Amino acid sequence: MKGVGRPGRWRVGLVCVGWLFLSARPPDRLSAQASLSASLGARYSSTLVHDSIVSPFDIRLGISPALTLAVALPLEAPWTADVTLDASYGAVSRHDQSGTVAPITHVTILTLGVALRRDLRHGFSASAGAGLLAYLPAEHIGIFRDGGGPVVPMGTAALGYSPPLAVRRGLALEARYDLHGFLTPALRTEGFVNSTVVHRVALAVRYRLWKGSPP
Amino acid sequence: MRYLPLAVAVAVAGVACHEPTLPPNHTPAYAFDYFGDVFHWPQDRLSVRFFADTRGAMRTYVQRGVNLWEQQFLYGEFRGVLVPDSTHADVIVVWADSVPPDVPPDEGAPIKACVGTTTPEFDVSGVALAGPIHTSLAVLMSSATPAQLAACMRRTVLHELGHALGLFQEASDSLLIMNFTPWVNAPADGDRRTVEVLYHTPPTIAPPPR
Repeated sequence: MKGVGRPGRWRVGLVCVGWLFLSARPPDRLSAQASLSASLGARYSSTLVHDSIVSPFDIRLGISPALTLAVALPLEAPWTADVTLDASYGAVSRHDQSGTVAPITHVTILTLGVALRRDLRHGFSASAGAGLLAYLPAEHIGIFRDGGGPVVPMGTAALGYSPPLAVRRGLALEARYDLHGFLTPALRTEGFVNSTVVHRVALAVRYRLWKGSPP
Repeated sequence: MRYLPLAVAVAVAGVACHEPTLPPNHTPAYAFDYFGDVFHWPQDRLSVRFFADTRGAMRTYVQRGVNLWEQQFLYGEFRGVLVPDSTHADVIVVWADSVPPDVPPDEGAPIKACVGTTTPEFDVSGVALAGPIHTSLAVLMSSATPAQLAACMRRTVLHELGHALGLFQEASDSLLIMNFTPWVNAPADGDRRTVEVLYHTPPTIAPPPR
């Protein structure tokens, strides 16, 4: 169970901050300007682990559903600060060169992030930010035998597009990219030293759930 | 403010450019073949079904053994499950004669108070198993206490399950569970590396029909 205690506390902290973020009532002046949106889409992740035992193989997370909740706080135009809580869930499996796919387990990936968004012309917007990410495996088995590892930093960038017709309905299309380092305690025990850089790309539809009225 | 997203993107790119992961060493510690042939349970036969003698502490020993062997694998190569019916089992583990008392195992110096046997039965082709793998555990004549005997049974079951997974040879290192006489309580690093390589080696012996 080595290496589980500290990451466990971090993970609890991440969940608590996320819960506070979702349940906290912003000050009246802020709430008058803030908006809450949710997006649902699909996410692709690059290889989590590449190894070779007799022949090379990859450990991958399949294309998984991604749900994001975001609170947007307008800053000086055209800037907006976004605080996001993102969850995705997928199957982790081994992909052999022969084409064999061996399931390992399922994992939930939680991220909490902040980003700075700028509105561009013609309904486009671009954002960049950073956050924290945690792997929460369904079972302590295989590469997650000793847990999902510590909470790690992640960087993120996104491009949004809201056609004129969709603006009024609070709808937008969003392409999000993020990256982080992946290394679990079990992989470290196996002899892995460096983490794998994992790139994730998500395509999603964003819907504004709530918007504060101007003061 | 205008250049902040650019700065974040540059920082993110910096993280992406750090040193790539190097695969670790996977050299096996001992041979695992059966006169040149290789057996392991294939992916489509997981979870492997284990039946344990219902008398005494055998179920406890087998469940512990299956769990410990499962934990040696990182990449979904092996899973095992205990089943209540021997007619639907891939591996059958029984007492050969007397049933030792179910007492907590002695954690002191190991005593050779028991012996195990694992027998794969081949069909007429010689390249496929004919039926379940049979493992039996027997008490040796010795002055061991019941707790020392229980400790011997616990580690010998683990050793025999290693054979049932396809580790058909014995290791010469006494610190490995697959040593001819098992003296340790759990698979060691050398056992882990060896069973990993076994499960990534194409088998030449087919599993028994279900």
